[in-house]
Amino acid sequence: MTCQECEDLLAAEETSAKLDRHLTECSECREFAADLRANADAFREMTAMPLPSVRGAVLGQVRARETRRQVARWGWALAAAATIVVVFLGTRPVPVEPLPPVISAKALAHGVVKRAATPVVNTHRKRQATRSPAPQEPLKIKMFTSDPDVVIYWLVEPKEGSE
Amino acid sequence: MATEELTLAILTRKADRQTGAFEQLLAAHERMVVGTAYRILGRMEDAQDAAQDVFLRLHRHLDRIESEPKAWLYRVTVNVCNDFFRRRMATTELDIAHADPSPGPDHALSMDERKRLLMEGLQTLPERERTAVVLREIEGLSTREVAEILGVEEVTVRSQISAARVKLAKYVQRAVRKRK
Repeated sequence: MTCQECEDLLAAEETSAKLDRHLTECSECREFAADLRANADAFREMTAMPLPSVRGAVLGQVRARETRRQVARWGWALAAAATIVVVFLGTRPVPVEPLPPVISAKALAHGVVKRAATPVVNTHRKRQATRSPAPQEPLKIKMFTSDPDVVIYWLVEPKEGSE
Repeated sequence: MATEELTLAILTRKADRQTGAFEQLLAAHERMVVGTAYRILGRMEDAQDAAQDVFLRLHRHLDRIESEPKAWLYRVTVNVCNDFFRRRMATTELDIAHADPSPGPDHALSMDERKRLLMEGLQTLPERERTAVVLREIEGLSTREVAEILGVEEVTVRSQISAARVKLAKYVQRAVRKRK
């Protein structure tokens, strides 16, 4: 058996009578076998060494990431809600006042609608119209972004004529 | 302003509840991941960075890991460390915590000195051999477990470990002879 063959068998943790015989005759291979055993012991001892903790750093990063993700999710929900509000305000039907009846000249001449010809004035409405309009608060929508330092405020002015 | 603080406080509490299970996994496997990373990378600073990366990946994929995450953690640790190692390409000096500056009489190798030399020697091995020997010799996994983690046949692992043992023994012997 050559020393190379002996090393291969020792490294593979194999045993044989030939190997034992070679080891009794070769001091270099005996030294090599002793080194392999000492290395294995050293490797086993390595598991006992003190190691630093990464728990705090990992949990800090995890919490920051979770919070950012939640805030971003809420931001999208708020943006969606804001869109719905804007669409609703923009498409809401505006109440239309009924037009005064149309009186033909012929009917007027025959005095059929004498009274009706006088335009009816809604004094209540007139009063309302002359009164200065009450200042209406704009709709304020607050949106969170993925960056916790950036918050978007969306001011929606009420549409003219809407109440 | 108060509303913002309240919102953030609510969200943080929710996140806390979600990370409860993760904290348990982190506590149970932290030592295993940091230790493996240190033995593969040879530098504690890099090992800590790699371990953080591994646990952040675990947190991201927590819902997809059905069984015990040990094998998954080993596999990800090996991949993350090998990426680190390739990027670093052995440009920086090793940070071996257990170096023994005063070898014993007659150049006999103390255990601490041997550990230091082995850590140095590990960094000279090819990636596959280094990983196999760390998992098998230091972490104490079986050949089958190592083969599953590395995605290779058991016979390949045995051959890699044998080759690594010979190279490491010769590395230590060379270092001792240089001193004589």
